[in-house]
Amino acid sequence: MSQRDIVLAASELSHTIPHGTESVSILRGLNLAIGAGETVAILGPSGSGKSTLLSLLAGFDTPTSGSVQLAGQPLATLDEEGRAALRARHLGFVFQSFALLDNLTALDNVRIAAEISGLDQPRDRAEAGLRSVGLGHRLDHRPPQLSGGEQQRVALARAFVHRPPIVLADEPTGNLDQNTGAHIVEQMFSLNADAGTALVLVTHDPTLASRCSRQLHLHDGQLQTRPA
Amino acid sequence: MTPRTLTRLCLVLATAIAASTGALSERIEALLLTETAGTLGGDLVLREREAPSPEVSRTAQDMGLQIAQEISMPTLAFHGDDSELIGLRVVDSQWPLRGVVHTDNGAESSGPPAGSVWIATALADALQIRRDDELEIGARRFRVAAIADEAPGRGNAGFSSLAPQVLMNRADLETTGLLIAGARSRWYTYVAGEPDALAAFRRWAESASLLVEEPGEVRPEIGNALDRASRLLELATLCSLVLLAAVVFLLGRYRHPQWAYETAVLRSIGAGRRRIWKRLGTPWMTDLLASVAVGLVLTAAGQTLLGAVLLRIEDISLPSSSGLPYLVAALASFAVAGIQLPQLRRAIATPPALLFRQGDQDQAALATGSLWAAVSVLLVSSLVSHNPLIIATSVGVVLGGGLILSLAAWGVLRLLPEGGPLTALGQLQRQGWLTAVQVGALGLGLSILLLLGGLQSQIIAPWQAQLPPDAPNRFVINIQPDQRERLADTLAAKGIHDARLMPMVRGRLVALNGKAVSVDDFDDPETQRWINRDFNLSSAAELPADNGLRKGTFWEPDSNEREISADVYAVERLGLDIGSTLTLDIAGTPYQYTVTSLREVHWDSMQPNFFLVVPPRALPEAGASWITSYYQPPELHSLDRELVQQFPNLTLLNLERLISEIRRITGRALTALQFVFSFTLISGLLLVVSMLLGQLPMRKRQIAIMRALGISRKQLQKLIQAEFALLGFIAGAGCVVVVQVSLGLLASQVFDMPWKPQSAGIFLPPVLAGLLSGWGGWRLLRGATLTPPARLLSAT
Repeated sequence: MSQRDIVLAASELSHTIPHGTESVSILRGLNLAIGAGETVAILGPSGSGKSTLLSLLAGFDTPTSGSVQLAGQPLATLDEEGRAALRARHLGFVFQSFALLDNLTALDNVRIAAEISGLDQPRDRAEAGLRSVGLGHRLDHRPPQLSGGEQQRVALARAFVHRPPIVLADEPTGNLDQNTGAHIVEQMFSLNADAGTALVLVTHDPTLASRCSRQLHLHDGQLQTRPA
Repeated sequence: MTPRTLTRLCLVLATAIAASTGALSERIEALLLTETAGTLGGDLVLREREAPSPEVSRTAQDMGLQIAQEISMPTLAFHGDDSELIGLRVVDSQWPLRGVVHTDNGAESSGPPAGSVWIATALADALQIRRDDELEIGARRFRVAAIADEAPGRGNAGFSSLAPQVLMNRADLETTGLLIAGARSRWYTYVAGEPDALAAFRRWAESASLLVEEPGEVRPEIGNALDRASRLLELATLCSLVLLAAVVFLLGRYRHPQWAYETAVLRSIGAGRRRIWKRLGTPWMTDLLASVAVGLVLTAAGQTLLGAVLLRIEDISLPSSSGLPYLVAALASFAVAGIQLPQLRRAIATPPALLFRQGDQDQAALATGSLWAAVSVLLVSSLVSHNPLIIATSVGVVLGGGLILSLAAWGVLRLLPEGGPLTALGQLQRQGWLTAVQVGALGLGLSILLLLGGLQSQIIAPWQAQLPPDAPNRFVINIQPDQRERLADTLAAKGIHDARLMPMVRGRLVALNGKAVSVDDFDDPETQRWINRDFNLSSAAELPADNGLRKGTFWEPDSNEREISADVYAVERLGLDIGSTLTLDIAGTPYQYTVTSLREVHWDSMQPNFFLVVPPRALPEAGASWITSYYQPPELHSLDRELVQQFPNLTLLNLERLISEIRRITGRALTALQFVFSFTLISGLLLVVSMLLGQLPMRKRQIAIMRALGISRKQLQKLIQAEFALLGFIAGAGCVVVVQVSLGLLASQVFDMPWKPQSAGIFLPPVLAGLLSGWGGWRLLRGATLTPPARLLSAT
C-alpha cells in the first residue's frame, strides 16, 4: 500500500484515562493504516478500547500520545474546528445508537450532513442517499417513527451522503436483530463498493468481520492480526 | 441547576410570595384603616336619629371596646346682628377615639373645653369673628377658643354636612336649650378596640338593626383607593403563583423520566411499591416541607425588614399581621407542589420493561398531570383571592397568554416558506411544537416584564395622575343661577379658569318602575336612609372622564329625552337596570326618567360627581343651584374669605386634608405593589430558565451530532445565535400584542380607567428580546460546543 493510497493512519497511538488517583492505559503505541476502499474489522472483548480507538481515529477526542492522519492531514496539528472541518469532507461515522436528530425528518437528518459538507443540491443528494438504502417512502418520517433498522439505514445514508474516503462504524448492528443487522451489513458493503469508500468496523460479530478484507484484534492496547 | 433544585426554589418562592403579599395586604389594610379611622374618629360608628339606648354602651363596654358620643344638628349661630347656619357637633370628653382635631393651636386629642367652642374658618369669615370673640348658639354665649377646620367624625365625610362646623363640649348642650323634641339631631356612637371585639360588636349591632359604618364605607374616595390597591396586589400575587405552578409542572415533566428509570431499576431488582414510594416520595416530601419552612422564615424576616424600612422612611409603624397569611401560604405551596404528584405516582407505576425502551414518554402522566395542575391552580387561586374576575384574569393572562403566543408562533412558522435544516428558520420550523412552547414561555416571561412597565407607565401613573398636584381642593355649593357668571369672573380674576360648574336640583324618589315606593319598601337601612331624603340630581352633556360606563349607552349632548344615568351605588340600592324608570318629585312636580346607562364613578378623582345624572335639557330649572370645584393654590389663601364676603350664601368646602390622605394611601399601595411585582418578575424568569433547562440534554445531543458530522464551531455559533434571536423576536412580537390586550383588560375591568393602545416603541421589545435571546441561547450552549463530541455523545 503506497503512502498515497492511505486514507487513515495511526502511529504509536496511546491513550490513558484517569481512574480515581490512578490512570488506566487503554491503547499502548498502536499502529494502523487503512487504504482506499479497504474494509477492516476491529474485534475485541468488551472494554478492550475498540470504541475509544474509533473515537480517536474520527478526531472526536485527542490521544495521550501518538498521531492520527486523516486524508494525509495529522489531526494533532488541528484544533477542534479543524478536525470538524476535516470530518465534514473526509469521514463518515455510523454510531451503534444511530445518533439521529429526533426533531428532524429522515431526509433532513441526511440533508444536514450534505449541507455541512458543502455539497451542491444537498436535498437531492440526501433523497438519493435514502432511496439507495430503501427508505424512499420514509423521507418525511422522524426517527421515533422509524424502526431500529430504518434508523440505522438513515445513519448509513448520512455517513455516505458526501462520499467520504472512509466511514467508521461503531457496532453498526449492535442494536439490531439478526435479519435487520444482515440487511444493514449488505447495504453498508454495497455503499462501500459503489463509492469506493474504505470501511472500518468495530464489531463483536465474527460473520460480519469475515466479510472484511482485514480483521484486526485489539488486545492489551495493541492491534494484532490474530486473536489473543 | 437540576430540576429538583429548581422545584425547591419555586416552592420557597411560592410560599414567600403568598405569605408576604397576604401579610403585607393585611398589615397595610390595617394601617390604612387605622389612619382612616383617624378621620372617622373611631373604628366603627353607629348613627341614629335619637339617643342611643344604654344597651349600646353597655354591650360595647362588655366587649372591651371604647366608646365616644357626638350629637350633631343644624342650627343658627349669631355674632352681633349677623347669623349663619352651622353644623353643630357636640362631643363628649372621650371623643375622638381615633385621630386628632387640627386647630390653629395645633393638633388636639380632644374636643373644646366646656364654655368654649371651636369654629370652622368659613364661619369665622362669614361672621367676621376671631379667636376669643363671643358666639351665640341657642340660649348660650360661647368663647371662640380656636379655629378648627379638620376634625374627625362622620359629620366630616362627603357632602352631607355642608354648613360650617362648630365643635361644642357635651357638658354645655343642655344649657343651650337646643336639644328639644323635634330637633333634627343625629346621634353618633363611635367605637374603637380590637378587631375581633369590633367584629363581634358589629354583628350584634346589625342584629339589633342599627346602622353601622366603617371607614371604607363612609369615605368612598378611600374605599376606592383601598379596593384598587388590593385588587392589584391579588392580581400580581396570583400571576406569580400561576407562573410558578406552570414551572413546577414543567419540572415535574423533566423529573418524570428519572423517577420512572429509578422505579424500573428498583423493580428489576425486586423492590415493592411501598419501598419505591419511600425511596422517591420521601425526598419529595422533605423538599416540600423544607421549602415551605424556608419560605415562611424568609417572609417573616422580610416583613420585619419592610416594617423597619417603612417605619424609618415614613415615621409610621405597620401593625403586625396575624398567622393566617402564613397558613394560607403553606397551603398554597402544598397545592403548587401537588402538581408534581400525579407524575410521581405514574412514574412509580412504571414496569421494569422501561429499561428496554428508554425515552418513551408517558402520555397518560401528561394528561392526568395537566388535569391535576388545573385543579391545583384553581385551589391556589381560591386560597389567595375571592374575586372570580381576578382569578380568571391571572389564570387567563398566564395560561391563555402562553397558549395564544404558542399557537401564534406555530401558525407563523407554518406560514413562512420552509428554511433549510442549517438555517435558524429551518431549525425553528423543524422543532415545531417545541418552538411554539418555547415562544409561549419566553413570551410570557417577557409579557410579565413589559406588563410591569406598562402598568407603571400606562395605568399606575395615570391612576396617580387622577390626583395631580392641582387636584381640586375647594368645593363650592349652593351657587344660584344668577351668581354663576359673577363667581366665574371672580375666580378667573384670580387665575382660576378650570372650575367645572354643574347644576344640582333636589328631588325625592316617589315611584320605581311606575310603582309608588316609600322607605318601607326597602329592607336595607342604608337604602332606607337614602330614600328618606332628597336626591341630588345633576346633568351632564357627556360622560365625565372620571366615570366608567358599565352598561347601556350614554346620551347625545342635545338629547331631549327624559333619560337618566345611574351610578353603581344607586343601581345596587334600588335594583336598577337599563329600562328601569324612576319618578322623582322635583319642586312638587313628578318627572319620570328611564335608565339608559349605568356608570361607576371614580370618587377618588375629587371632581364633583352625582349618583344620578340626566341630559342637560331634561333637568328641570326650578330650584336648581350650581356646584363647582377648583384648585386653589396656597398663595390664594385669602380667596376663601373674599368669596364668602362677596357671596354670603355660598358654602365652601376645603378638601386639602382629604386629598393628602388619598395621596398617602396610593403611595403606600404602590410601595406594596413594587414589592410584589419583583416576585412576579422572578417567577417569569424561572419559567424561561426551566424551559431552557428542559431542552438542554436534547440540545447538547444535537450539538454533539452536528460536531461529529463536521460542522464548524463558528457555523454552529451563528446557527444557535440566529435561531435563539429569531425565537426571541417572535416571542417579543407576540408579547407586545398580549401586553397591550392585557393592559386594556386590566384598565377597563380592574382599574376602571380609560385606556388607549400604545404604538410608540412597539418594535423595541421584539428587537431587544431577539438580541437578548440570541445572546442567552449562545451563553447556555457555548459550553456544549466546546466539549469534544465523544464526551457529549457518551453523556447522552
